[in-house]
Amino acid sequence: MGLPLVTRNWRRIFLVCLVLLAVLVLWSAKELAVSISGLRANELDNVGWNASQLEVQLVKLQHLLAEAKAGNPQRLLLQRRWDNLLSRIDPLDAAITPDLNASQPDFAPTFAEVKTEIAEMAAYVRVRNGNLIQAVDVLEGRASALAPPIRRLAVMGDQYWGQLTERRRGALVDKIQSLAFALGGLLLLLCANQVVVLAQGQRLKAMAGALTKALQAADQANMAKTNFLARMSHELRTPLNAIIGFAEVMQAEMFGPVGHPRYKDYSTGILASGRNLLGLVDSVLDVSQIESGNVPMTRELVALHEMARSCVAAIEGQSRGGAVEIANRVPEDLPRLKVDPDHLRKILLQLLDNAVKFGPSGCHVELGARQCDADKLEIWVKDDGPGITPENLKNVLNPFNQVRDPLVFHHEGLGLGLPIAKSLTELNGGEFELSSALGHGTEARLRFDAAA
Amino acid sequence: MRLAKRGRPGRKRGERIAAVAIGLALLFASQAGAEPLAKPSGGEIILSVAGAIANRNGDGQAFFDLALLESLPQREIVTETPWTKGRHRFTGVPLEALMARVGAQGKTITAEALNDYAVDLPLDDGKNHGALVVYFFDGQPMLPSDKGPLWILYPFSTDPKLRSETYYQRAVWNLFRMTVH
Repeated sequence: MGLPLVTRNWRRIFLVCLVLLAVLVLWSAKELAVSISGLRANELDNVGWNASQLEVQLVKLQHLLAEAKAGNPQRLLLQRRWDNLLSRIDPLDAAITPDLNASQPDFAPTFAEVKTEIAEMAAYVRVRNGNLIQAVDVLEGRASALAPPIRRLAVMGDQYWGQLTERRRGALVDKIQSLAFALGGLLLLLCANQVVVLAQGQRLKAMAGALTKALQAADQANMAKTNFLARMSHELRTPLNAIIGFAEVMQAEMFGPVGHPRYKDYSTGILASGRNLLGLVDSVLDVSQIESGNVPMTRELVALHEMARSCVAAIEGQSRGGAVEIANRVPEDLPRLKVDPDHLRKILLQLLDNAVKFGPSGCHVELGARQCDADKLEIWVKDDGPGITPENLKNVLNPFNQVRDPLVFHHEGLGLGLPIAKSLTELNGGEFELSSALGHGTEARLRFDAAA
Repeated sequence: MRLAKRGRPGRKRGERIAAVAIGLALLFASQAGAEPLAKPSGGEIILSVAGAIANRNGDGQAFFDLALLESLPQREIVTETPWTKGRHRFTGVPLEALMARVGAQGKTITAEALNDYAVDLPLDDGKNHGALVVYFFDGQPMLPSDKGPLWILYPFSTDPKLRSETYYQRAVWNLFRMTVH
């Protein structure tokens, strides 16, 4: 049957892995989001931008200085360009970080050199009371000298921007990869789970098939047993009828005396045993018919009063010399029942027989009936015999489960009487209820629909 | 600080004449009782506001010297910026108050700097993000050779949303001219 069913432990480990991977996915996604939102151009190219703007302002200043030198002084614009150049120093200073110094070691010394040079130019302008026009010659020379180091600053700033971008991109790729790995792991785990679930499903299907087959085999075996019992019982009845018939003939000395009186006693014994055996065989036949659902059945209107009288008479006839008293309390004016008369007789005989059989000498048995609802008839058989324990009460209604009570142990029989009575009652649309308490007798109550 | 690399967006003046005219008419009607803008008291002009504004004080524009700016509502923010080291105290007029004073009737302000940088920013940045037109840096006026005369600043340190390219680019220093449209 392939894979074994996944154990609970494995399930637990699987679930833990699933949760861990899910957490990893969420964490990686969050890290990625943080990285992406941290990609600020301003932060990345602050140095490059400020250095290049410094260069731009220098070039603009140089242009105006050259114009002034050529006889075209633009005092206001020159002042503005000079201010613009100065204003670029502090922002570039603020943009310098330890990371920049580690990456571009020449940057800070070059910038310091530029700052010193510009400070000296500013001092020179101050000495001339801020009159730039007067300082044009000197400023132009110094500005030309400033161009190469400022150009270097701009180039280093650009290179730093390149490195920073590469670094950020590498970090992003790493984070995307770990997210991909976590997601892949999660998917693999889910796929594995799917495979296991499918395999389990197939295994369960195979098991269900095997169980169905086993159930069918058991049903067939049970049916075979039932059929065998039915046939056996039937076959046993034929010789039994001969035995009982001939025993009756002998006991009645139909064709003359049998001689020695002991033969007559023996024939009486044969007759009693034969009848007893016939009773047992009949019971087995009843059970097998009930189990196989082949109970022959007719429905007739039955007067309960007459039926009760004949049953009581029959039981009294075979009871042990009136050791048990049977009170017939079935009123005559009850509505009639629509049931199978043979079944009803069997039920009543069985219940009465049980009460008489299991009751000690001198106990009382009562057969009664009443109309309880408008259309219901209740019949009861109760005795004041030894009773049945609650555990046994559950068993007595199952076939072949005669009560193994020490008090009643000595009684013969297969324990089929009550199950048959219950089955036949239900077969005829009635309800069967048995109640008992140890030491307080047993009571069977039957309820049938009264005939309309 | 990036927009200087691009050009300023072209203006569709022709299309807007009618709108501006209607806007101005409405403005004069609604602000008939508004106090007229005083003239600068003789200090150096450090800011001019032009464009769709209702209150002017000369030559079709609103001119401000430091004293006139100081007469407007004042606010102070303490923040770091990418262009300075450490935290500093910035004092200025809230953009919202300045725009209200000139009776701005537009959606956008074009802010121009002495170093030829220019940027467009929404008029509502004053109301929505607390933008400030700064004239004192740690209590001192700013020179053109530093960040002066004026500096549009946002409270970067108190609102993380503002620490992005969009708002850094709008934080014009060397500011000297604004045009509302």
